[in-house]
Amino acid sequence: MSAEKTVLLVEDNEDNRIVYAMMLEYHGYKIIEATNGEDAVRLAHEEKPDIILMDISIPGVDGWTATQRIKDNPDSQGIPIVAVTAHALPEHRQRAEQLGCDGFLTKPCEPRRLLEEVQKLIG
Amino acid sequence: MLDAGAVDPDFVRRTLDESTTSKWNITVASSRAEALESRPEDYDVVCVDCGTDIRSGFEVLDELGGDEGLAVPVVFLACERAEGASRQVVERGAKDLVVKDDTGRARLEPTLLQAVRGHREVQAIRSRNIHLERFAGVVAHEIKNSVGAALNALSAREMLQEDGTASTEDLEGLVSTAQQALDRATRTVDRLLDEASNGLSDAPATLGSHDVGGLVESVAREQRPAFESGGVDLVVEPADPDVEGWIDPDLMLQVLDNLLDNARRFTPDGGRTTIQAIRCGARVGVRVSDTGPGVPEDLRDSVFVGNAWDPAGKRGLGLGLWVAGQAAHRLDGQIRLEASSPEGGAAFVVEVPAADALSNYRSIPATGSSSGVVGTDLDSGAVA
Repeated sequence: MSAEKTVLLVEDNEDNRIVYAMMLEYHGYKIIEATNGEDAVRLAHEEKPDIILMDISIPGVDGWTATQRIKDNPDSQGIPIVAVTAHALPEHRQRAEQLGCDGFLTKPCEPRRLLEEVQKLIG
Repeated sequence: MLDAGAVDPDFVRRTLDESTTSKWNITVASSRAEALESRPEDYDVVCVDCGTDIRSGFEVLDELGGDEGLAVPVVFLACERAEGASRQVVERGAKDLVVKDDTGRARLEPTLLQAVRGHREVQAIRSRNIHLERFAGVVAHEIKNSVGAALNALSAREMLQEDGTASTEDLEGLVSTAQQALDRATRTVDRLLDEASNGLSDAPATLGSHDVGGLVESVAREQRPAFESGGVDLVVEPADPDVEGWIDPDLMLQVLDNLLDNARRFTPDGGRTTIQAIRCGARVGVRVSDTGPGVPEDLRDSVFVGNAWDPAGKRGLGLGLWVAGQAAHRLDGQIRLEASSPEGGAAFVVEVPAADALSNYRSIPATGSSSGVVGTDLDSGAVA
């Protein structure tokens, strides 16, 4: 069981949010949630989570832009970000790397795979 | 008309001024430079008068088209019919060639109208194809999301059950989440099938003169119970005078039904949706406005292609708006999202031709209404 570390879960799909949050909580993580890019950037700054799971296709400011803003801010740029996207093309992975993402998962993303990625990055 | 070394620069003006069927707004550009600077794309049709030198006309055509091709139909005018000239003109992207003689004078207006009509038909098909492609992408995304969420929920349940740490309530909750996601996927498919059978029909519209104000009353009466159960006040404002439209009433009702349904879904409990039949020049319309959150600036261009977001951050299919847009198009109408709404939320206006403003060419209403540029403009309000 992990020590209580905080995961910022950025996901607009309510069902996925429920599932991922429950699964991560049962594995000892504290979850904060955002459904759009603006909230993701704000919560990254305010809450300083240990990791961010960033859905890319979200309303308003998209996941790429939100990631860019978080990585541009000295206060939050050290937070690992895992891009979670339905776009599995190599250029998307490349873009994630260019933005400084620490992980890249494609949807549909099994909860087990998500958990493994979180554990790998923050224990 | 574009004058590129024309021998007779008044040929178009004199011919079309004599028209008894349509009123034409004609602008003459006296040089090639003037023509290219004056936004030919704002016109319904452009005439390139190449005089005796068809090659100079081709050069103008190439410059008008630029890298992206012609955005407006072009008819060539020539002093004489050279061997193979018509074929060359069409190969260069122009619609036709008219020789400036007595025969050409008789052919000019029908040729221009045919060029406009053909160009609009092609544009309509392109637009429909683009919409269909984007729409298919959105639907596929929705279904993939829902099915993916259901699989995730079941997978998480299996995982937590193996761990033996989860409560029975949470495990049941995950099954319930999976069921809800699958229900949503089913609803998406059902709605798609429903719209396909009702809204995407290519059956010809049965056009006639109908009171749009009466249709507004009718659709409001139908939908009022749904508004009341959602705690939303539905207000029918008095109709403007003269709101007889040249419409298919069933199609118009479908448009209004979808617009009202959309407004209801986005108006919060205690809010208000307002509907009114209005007169807009040669057209009649219906405005549907609400006190909801409005449409974010960056989504304004996409609300008619079925990928709008609802204010709770969940994705809304927006199928209704897309179907409404298609139905409006079949009425020679359009739906626009107003820049701002007096109600503070979103305001959609559907506009269709007014029954009392019909011309012989009502089926090809003008889109370019400005003057002072290149080419010729067909006045949509012209009466035979």
